[in-house]
Amino acid sequence: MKRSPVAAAIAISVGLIILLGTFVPIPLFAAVRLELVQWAAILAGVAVLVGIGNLFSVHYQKVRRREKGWFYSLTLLFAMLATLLAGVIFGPTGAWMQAALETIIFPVEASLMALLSVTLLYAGIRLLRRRADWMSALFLGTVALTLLASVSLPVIGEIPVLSDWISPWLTYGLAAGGARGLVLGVALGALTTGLRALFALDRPYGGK
Amino acid sequence: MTQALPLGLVILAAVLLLALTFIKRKSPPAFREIAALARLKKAAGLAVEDGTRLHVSLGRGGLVSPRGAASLSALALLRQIGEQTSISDRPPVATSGDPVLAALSQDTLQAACQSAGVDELFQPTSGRLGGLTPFSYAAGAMTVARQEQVSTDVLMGDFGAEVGLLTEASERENSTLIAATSEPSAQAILFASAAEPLVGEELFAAPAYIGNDPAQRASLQAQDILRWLVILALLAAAGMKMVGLI
Amino acid sequence: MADLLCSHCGMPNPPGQNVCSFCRQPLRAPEDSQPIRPGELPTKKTTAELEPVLPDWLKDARANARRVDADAARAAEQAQAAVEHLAPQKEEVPDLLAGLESASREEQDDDIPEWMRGAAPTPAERPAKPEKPEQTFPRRQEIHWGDETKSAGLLRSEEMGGMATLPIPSAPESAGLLRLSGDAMLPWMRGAGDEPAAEKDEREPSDWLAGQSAAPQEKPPVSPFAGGTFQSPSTGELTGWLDKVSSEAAAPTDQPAAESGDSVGDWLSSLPRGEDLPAPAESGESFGEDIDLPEWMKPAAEPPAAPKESQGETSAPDWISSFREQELPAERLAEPAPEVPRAPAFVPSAGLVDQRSNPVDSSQENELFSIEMPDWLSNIAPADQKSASAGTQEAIAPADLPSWVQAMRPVESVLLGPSFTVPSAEGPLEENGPLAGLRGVLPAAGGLIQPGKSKVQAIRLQSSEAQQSSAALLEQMLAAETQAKPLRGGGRLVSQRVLRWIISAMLILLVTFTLLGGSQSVPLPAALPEESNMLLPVIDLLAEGAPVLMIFDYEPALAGEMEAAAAPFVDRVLGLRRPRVTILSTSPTGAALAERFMAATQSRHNYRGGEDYVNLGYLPGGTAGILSFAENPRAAMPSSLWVLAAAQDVNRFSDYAAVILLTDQAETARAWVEQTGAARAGLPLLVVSSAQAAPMIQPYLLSGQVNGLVSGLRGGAAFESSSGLGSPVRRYWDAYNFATLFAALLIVFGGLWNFLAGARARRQGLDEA
Repeated sequence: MKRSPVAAAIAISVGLIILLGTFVPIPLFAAVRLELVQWAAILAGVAVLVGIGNLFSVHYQKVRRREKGWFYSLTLLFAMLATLLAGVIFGPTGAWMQAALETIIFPVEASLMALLSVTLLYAGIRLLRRRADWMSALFLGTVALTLLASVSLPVIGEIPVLSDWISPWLTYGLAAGGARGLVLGVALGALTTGLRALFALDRPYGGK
Repeated sequence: MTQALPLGLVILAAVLLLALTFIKRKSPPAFREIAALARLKKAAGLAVEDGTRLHVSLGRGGLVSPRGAASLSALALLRQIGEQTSISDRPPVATSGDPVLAALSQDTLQAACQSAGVDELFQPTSGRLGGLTPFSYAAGAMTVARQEQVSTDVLMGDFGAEVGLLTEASERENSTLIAATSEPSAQAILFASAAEPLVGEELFAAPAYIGNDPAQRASLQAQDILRWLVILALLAAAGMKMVGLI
Repeated sequence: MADLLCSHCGMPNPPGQNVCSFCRQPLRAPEDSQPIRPGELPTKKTTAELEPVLPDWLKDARANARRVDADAARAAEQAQAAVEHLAPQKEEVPDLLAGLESASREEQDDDIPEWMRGAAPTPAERPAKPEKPEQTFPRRQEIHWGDETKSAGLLRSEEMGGMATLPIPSAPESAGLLRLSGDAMLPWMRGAGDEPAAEKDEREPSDWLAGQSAAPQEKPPVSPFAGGTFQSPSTGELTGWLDKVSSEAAAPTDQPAAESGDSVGDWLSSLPRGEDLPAPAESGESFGEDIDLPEWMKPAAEPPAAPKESQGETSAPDWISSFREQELPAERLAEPAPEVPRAPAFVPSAGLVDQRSNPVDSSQENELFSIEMPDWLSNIAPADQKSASAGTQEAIAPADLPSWVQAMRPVESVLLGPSFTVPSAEGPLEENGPLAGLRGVLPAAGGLIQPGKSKVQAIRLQSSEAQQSSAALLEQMLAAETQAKPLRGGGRLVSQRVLRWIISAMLILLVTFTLLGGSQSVPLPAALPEESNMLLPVIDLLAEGAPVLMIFDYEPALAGEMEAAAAPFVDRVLGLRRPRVTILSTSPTGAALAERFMAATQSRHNYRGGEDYVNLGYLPGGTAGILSFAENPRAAMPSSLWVLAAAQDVNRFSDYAAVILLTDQAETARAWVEQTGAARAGLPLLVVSSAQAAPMIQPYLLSGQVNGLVSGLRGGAAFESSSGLGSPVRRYWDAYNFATLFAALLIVFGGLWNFLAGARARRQGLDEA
């Protein structure tokens, strides 16, 4: 599929209009910007259906070819279709949807979250064995301090000094400052990436 | 004032980007060595040589959100990886947690195959939606990492805490892991679980390091210039605040 | 009947003959000459027409022969006259030449080369061709050396034994070809034809070569090498010189023969050894005197002797004379001859040396011919050599090639008609460079070829960085193939899995026992955190029954924490002000989670869907959807629920009294803050977030963009503590704190343990190394 100049023109013009609509207080720009934003929201909603279709086709191919784990793919397809039917018939807030959420979605995701906590704990324990440097030691020390600062002990409650001074300074001082620096860098990267897309220097929409 | 500052920043970034892109240089710009990206280059070649697969996970950042920038950068990296490894016996697989991102990943891999001249090797199922929620997406991506002879897992994009599950799955399969995310909390997880995590805006530097696109290199240079300007502005503002000027 | 004189060799031929019996050239001008095209069958050509493709050494030899001085030419003319005088005796053509005569009459598929065919009479006089007995390739013993037929030297096939039976195709006879010199005839053989066989006796060499035109004299085969003796042929011109050689050298050669002990005949044993080899120049002149050789065998430089015919000898063999160089027609010699291979080095130097090569030193020549070479070979006149080295551009006379040679020629490249020559190159003569001397050279474009020394090109392999890295990668892979890779210890994998299982088991047991035991030993936070304190005034300012937007933007995985964190706050809001709630979510599962939250934690308020709250469901588009909703809620979420009592008076985003955001991601909070900032117009934004997102929302709180924050389970516990109302927090609080303490201690001590173990392992690895 060759690069279409029409697609590039649309992308560039829409980006410029949104940008101008944000910074230039002209009603016309604002109105067009709003309309384009609504179109984007609609397209994003349709994209969810496209993604679901992609998910269906991938697992269908897996079942058809009897690839490894095809039975799980068959289970996924069955569950997908059943949930779709339940949602269409009974609505997203109906009893069947609530039952699916309560009995399947919520427990599965909670279990994955619990697995994540064990994984992170294990990774923290093994960090100094894998990479014994002062950064890893500092990292682990910060983690330990933060955890201890958020703990309330029986009888005594929160650990004094640790939860009153050290934890706030550590959490909202060093950690937050570092996080802000990271976010600033990410924002600058996002800015140049967006400008590259705006100037058609980078076209994520395919083409040679 | 609140609108002038971001507008000025946008204009300055645009000027820098265009100037650095189109100005002819005698020699390409020199960037610092990033070990993880050097490993990525090597891993791509190894995957082609030994007939294994590269798994590129793009995260769950939609393009219509602020996290979309990380997804754009990941797509650019996916394009370069796809061009290098599309001729492999097992072409790369891209998973994502956003429908728009999944469709774009398909298109990107198809373009990469066309660019490499192997249109017939493209498979639409190479770009997949792992799931609509973060953990369901992580579960889908873990399945790919475990069942499809993956030698290298490349986690590039917007991830949350679920990235810990992906790194654990990669470690179980003894695969090479190269990960980068724009989310600070996920970066902390990667620091603990990945051998060579990419921190901060190194995610946006990956396409410039892997490929030879002058626009990518110019973007990286513009980021560096803007970062120094922001640092100077922050220090100046802090100093002025301390002395009471503002 | 007048004979036809060959225009090339000058020899007389019978009138009915088309091709000269001596030089195989057409006697008549060709009527038409068409170039042979690919695919066409080769046609017979005469050897003389193949002049351009002769080897250089042969051309030189022919050129040398042509440069015979005037005496030699005159001698040739005299010989020709003598031959003409002897023309009537042509009927008795020697056997040697008989084949040439009959070449034009015999079939093409005759397997006997014409120049070697035995003497054959003229068509009128030749008797019936005897039936040829089956002949084999002759052995030496079968060669008839005693043929006394006085002929021009033709060799009869019968006399030659089986040599004539070789299946050799005859030469093409098509006319219009460049007449070339014939076979690679040595000068001593060529020159012999120029002079009459004057010096002859009964043992002339030509006699044995002469064909018997009348009656073949069959004689028993005699091996000249039998018993080391040589039986001189009784007839023929050629035999005489051999007899003479044997007679003169009989005495001294006996000894060499005895010494050698071989069966070489006297004539060979009489050959001078290397030390006896006289100078070619000298012996060349005395050769003819000491040994009575026919003229045609004498070197060309030899001064013309008296006509050999005066001694009653027969003329030089015609077949030999046919190899004289012929003067090519002037028009055919205008163009240079095509390139032909040079003469081989072993060929005797006289007359055969390539003009461009170094002349063979006489001493080298003597060395070559020092052993077992007859005088007549070694005495090749150096004058020929000198004349050969002089260099010449003269045209050479065509000569005949055997038919079998002609048949092997590439037809189109050679046989292109009478006008064939080397393609004439028009244009200026190239004087410089490797193409000097050639014409028709393409001129160099201006500036294309820069004079001077060419740019030095690096001979090193030019490779890019990517190629070098790929090569290094391949090299590493190949090196790794030969190295034994230590297997990842199964024990290590097992230990890792065991450790995971142990950690999981401990956590599960701790939390389970704590929950099941209903422990409440850990006290709740006594006071609200500062960010949560900011919520209270906002709640107090809410009007009763005011519309409130409640956004559920968290995932099911964190629903436990979020519900526990948000339940006390929402319970307080709903309990104090009973607002009309509009529920919205940018997550597909948000709507269901909202229903779960309302049913599980707010049931005491008896909020009914449609009356007390409306659930608008999923808002697609992420940030764009948020912006769209902020701009126009009803347009962004078209639904029939807007007419319900809970949302009937909400037309704009600012119609809401407050926005309560429940999120587990800082990005989501930031998106709502940034996109609804303009539309809120001072509307309070209250956020309930998970503990992981709170630090990133703090700046917005400090800047006033967020009006209050409940952070994680601790914030919910604090709210519960302050409100005094029961909530899920109390149930989870002890288990949460015990598990957190356990994790912290495990990280501290486990990390320390692994640090020491890793250091020990590295130390052991260094020691082993």
